[in-house]
Amino acid sequence: MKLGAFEELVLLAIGALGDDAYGVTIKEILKEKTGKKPSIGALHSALYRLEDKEFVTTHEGGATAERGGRRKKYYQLTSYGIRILEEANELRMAFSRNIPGLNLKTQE
Amino acid sequence: MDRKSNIPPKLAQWLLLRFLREDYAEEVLGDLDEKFYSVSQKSTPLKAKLNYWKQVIQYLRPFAFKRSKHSIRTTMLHHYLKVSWRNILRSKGFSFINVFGLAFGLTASVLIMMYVLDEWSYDKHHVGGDRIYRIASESDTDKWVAVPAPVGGAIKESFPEVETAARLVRIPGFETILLKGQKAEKQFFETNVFYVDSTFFDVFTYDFLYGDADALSKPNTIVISDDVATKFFGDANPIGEPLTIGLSFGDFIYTVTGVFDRERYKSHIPANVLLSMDNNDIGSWVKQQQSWIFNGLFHTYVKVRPGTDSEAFERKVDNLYQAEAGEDLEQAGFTKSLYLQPMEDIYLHSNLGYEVASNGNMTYLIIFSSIALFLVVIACVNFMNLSTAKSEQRAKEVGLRKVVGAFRSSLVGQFMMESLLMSGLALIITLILLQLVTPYFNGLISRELSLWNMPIVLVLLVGLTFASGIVSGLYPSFYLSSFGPAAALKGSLKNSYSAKAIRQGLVVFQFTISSILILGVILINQQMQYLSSQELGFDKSHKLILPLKTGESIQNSELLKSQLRSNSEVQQMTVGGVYPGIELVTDMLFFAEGKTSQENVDIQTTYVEGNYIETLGIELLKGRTFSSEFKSDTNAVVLNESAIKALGYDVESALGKQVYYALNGERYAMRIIGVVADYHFESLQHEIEPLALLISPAFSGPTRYFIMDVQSASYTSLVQSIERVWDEVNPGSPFQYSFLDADFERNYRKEMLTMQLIQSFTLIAIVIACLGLFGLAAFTAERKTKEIGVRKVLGASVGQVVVLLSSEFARLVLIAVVIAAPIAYFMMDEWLNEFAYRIEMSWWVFLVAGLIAMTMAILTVSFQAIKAALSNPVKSLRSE
Repeated sequence: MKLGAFEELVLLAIGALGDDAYGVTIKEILKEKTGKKPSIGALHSALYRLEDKEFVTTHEGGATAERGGRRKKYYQLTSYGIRILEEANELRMAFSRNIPGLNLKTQE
Repeated sequence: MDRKSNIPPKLAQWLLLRFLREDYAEEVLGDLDEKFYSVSQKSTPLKAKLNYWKQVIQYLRPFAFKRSKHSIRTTMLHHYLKVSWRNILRSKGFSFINVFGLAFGLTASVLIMMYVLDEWSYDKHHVGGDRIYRIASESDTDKWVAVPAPVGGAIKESFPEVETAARLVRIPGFETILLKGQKAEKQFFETNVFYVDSTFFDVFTYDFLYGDADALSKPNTIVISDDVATKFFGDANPIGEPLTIGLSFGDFIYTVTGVFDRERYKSHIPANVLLSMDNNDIGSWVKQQQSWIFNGLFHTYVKVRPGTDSEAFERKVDNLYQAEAGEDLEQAGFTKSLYLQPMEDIYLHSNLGYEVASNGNMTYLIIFSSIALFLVVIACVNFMNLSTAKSEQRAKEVGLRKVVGAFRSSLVGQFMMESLLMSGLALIITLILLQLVTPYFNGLISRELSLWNMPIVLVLLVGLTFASGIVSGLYPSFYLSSFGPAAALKGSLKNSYSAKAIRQGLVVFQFTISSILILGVILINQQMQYLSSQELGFDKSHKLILPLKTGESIQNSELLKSQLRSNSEVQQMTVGGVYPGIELVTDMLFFAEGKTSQENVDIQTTYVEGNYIETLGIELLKGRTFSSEFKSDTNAVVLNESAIKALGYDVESALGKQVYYALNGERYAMRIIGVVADYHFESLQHEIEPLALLISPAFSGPTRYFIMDVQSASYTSLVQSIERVWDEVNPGSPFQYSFLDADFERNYRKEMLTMQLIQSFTLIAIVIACLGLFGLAAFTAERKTKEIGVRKVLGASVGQVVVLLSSEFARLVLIAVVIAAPIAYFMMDEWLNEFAYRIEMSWWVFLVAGLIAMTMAILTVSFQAIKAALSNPVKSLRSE
C-alpha cells in the first residue's frame, strides 16, 4: 500500500495530536510544523484516502456551537497506520545511509 | 458586530451542498464553520467569509462529488437492458418472429422506396427545370409529343417570355447507329442517339467531363457519354477527335466537342450520343422541313423566363400555331392544337405517342409506394401486436416491481427500452439483409441503387424502426404501469377487452391488406396470361430479324436473299420498313372513292417488299399479296380490315377499288389489291389501327429490316451460319440480329417486371402477416392451456379444441377478405383500364383470393392449435 508524501504528513499529524485529531486541529498543526496552509478540501481528500486505506479509524465526537451544531470527526492511527509510518521511515533511513556526504542524526 | 455578517456565507454553503457527497457534509461543513469562526475572531468576518469561499471552491475535487443522478440513471439503464435481453432470450421463437418480421418488412419496403425515389429523381437536376416545357400536340385521334420543325423557332422569335428553345429529333430506326473510330476495328452500334439544336445545353443541364454547354454550336459536332468515350478513346481527352457515323445513305464525319457523365443525372432523354442538327447527313432534310402540319418529329422544348404565366403562354402558343397552320390544317382536313407539358413531369406522367424513350409510369409508382407502405404497416402492426400480447404476460412482473417500489416512470422506461431494443435489433438485421439483397434487386430492375446514396431512405428507415419501437412500447408501458400493484398481481389484466379488440382490429387490417395483394397478384397474372395468349394475327415465333443499318446492307439485301436461299433452315425471307412490335410512326391521310380530301382517314403506312405477308404469317382475307410479276404494284396497296372499314368499304367488295391521298395539292391514287386480317403491328397496349402495306418506294422510310422465317434444331448454329453469309455479303457492316418474339415481348418488360416485383413483395407481405398470426396463435394457445386441459379432461376431442382455437382467427380473416374485395376491385379496375385489351374480373377470383388468405391463416393457426390440443392435460393442470 502506497503512502503519499502529503498523506504521510497528515498521518504524522494525526499521530502527534493523539486524541484531539480532527479536521481543524490537523490543519492547524500542519500549518505550524510545515509552514504551508493546505486547503480543507485537500486535507479532507487525504483523510478520506487514509481512511479507505485503513491507516486511520474515525469516531464522531460531540456537537459544538462553533461548528454550527455539527459533530467533530476524530481520527486515530490504527496499528496498520503506525506500521506504515515505521516502514516509510525505515525506507528513508535505508536509502539515506547510502548517500555519501549526507549526514543524518539517527537514533541508532 | 452585525449578527448577520457573522455567520458563514449561505450561498457558499448551498453551493457546497449541491455537489458534496451527503456522507461528507457533516464533517466538512463542521470543519469549515469552526475555521470560519476562528478566522472571524482572529481577523475580520469579511476575511473569514472570503476564506470560506476559497475553501469551498478548493473543495471542487472529484473525490468529494456526489454520485450524480446521471450515474443512477446509467445503472437503471443497465438494469433495463439486462432484463430486456433476458426477456428476449426467454422466448426465443417469439422474439425471432417479432424481430425478423419487422426486418423483412422494412427490407422489402426500403428496396421499393429506393426504386420509387430513383424514378422520382428524373429530370429534377436541370437548372430552371420548372420553367422548361415541351410542346405537344393533340389531334382528333391522338396525343403526340413532337411538333413540326418550324414551331420551335417561331415560338422563340414571337414571344419575349421565351428565354431559349431547343429541338430534338429522334428519327425512328436511327436511335441506334453505327459509330466508327479512326481505326477499322473500333466500330460499335450505339443506342439512344439523338439530333439536337445547338441551344440544347442552354435548356438542359448536363454534367460535362470535357467540353461545355457550347459544345454543339458548330456544325457536324458530336457530344458523347463517358461510356462511349471510353470505348473509343480510353481515358484520353477526346475533344477534337473525329468520329464517323454510318447511316443507310452514307458515312459522315463528326468532331467530338463534349463528353458528359451519363450516370450523374437521370432524364427522360436517355442520350448516349447527341449530334448537332446542323450537319451533312440529315441537316439539309431538317432545313427543308417548312411544313407546319407534316413531319411532327421534332421534340420541342422551351425555357420561359421566370414569372411567366404558363396557362397564358400555352394559349399564345396555340394561337400562334392556329394562325400559322390553320389554313393547311383545313385543307388537309384535320385539326391539331398545341399544348405544354411541364418538363419535370414528362418522365412519370407522359406516355403518349412518339416519346423520346420509354418513360416511367405513375400508376406503377403509386402501386409500388402503396405496397411499400403496406409492408411497413404490416410489419409494424405485427411488431406492436406481438409486443403488446407478450407484455400482458408480464402483469405479475409489473405488480411485483410496483410492490418493491418502482416508479411508474421507471416501468415506462423498462418497457420502452425493451421495445426499442427489439426494433434496434430489427434495424441491424434490416441493414445486413439490404446489403445482401440490393445487388439482386439491382440486377432485376437494371439500376445501380444503393441505400448509402439515398440519405432520405436511410433516415426514413431509422426513423420508422424507432417509431414502431416507440409505438409498440407505448401500450405496455403506459397501460400496464397504470394498474395498481394488487390488480396487476392478481392477474386481472388478462381480461382487458380493449387490448383484445385492438389486437383483433390489427389482425383484420393486416389480412385486409394481404388479401388485396393476393387479389392483385391473381388479376395481374390473369391479365398477363391474357395478353400473351392474345391472337396477334401473325406468327411471332421463329422469326429472325437482321436490321439493315448501312447503305451497303440495304443495297445487298437481294444478294443476301439469294445467298441464304440455299440454307434449308431459312424458309421465307423479306425486307420491310418495320416489323410487328416496334414503333410505327409513318402515316398518311387517305380518302375513299367519292370523298373529298377533307373526308380522310388516318392510316398507318408500312413499306414492305415482296413476301412480307407470307413471311410473317399474316392472314390474307381477299385478293393477293405483292409480287414482282406485277409491274403496276408500285401503285398497289394492301389494307387491313380496320382500314377497309374506316374508309367505308366492304371487305367482300373492296378489291380493285381506289384509295387516294393528297400531297402538295396533288391527288395520288392507289389500288386495293388485297385485304389482310387485323394483326397487332404494335404492342398490345395499342388497339389495332387502320394499316396500309405498300411496296412503293415513295413510302419507304430510312429503316429496313431483313426478316426471316426460320426452322432449326439449333438456333445458335443457324445464327452463326447466317453471320458468315452476312460477313461475306456486307464486309463493312457489323452483324446484328434479334428474334421477333423477344422484341415483341420487350414491350411488356415493364409489366412483366412490375408483376414479378409485386408478386415477390406480396409473398413477403403474406409471410409477415402469417408470422404475426403464428405468434398471436401461439400466445392464445399458451393463455388457454388450462382451459384446454379442463376441456380435455371433460372429454373434448382434439378436433373440437382445434376448432375452438382456430375459429376466432378464421372469423377475423373472413372479415378482412370481405373488406378487401371491393377495395381490390376498384384498384385493379383502374390498372386494367390502362390496357387496350383487358380481362374482366370474375367473381370466382375473389373467392379464390379469399380462400387462399383463409387457408394461409388457418394453416398458420392450426399448427399452434393442434400442438396445444395434443398436449397432455395432466401437464397443464398439475400445477393447481
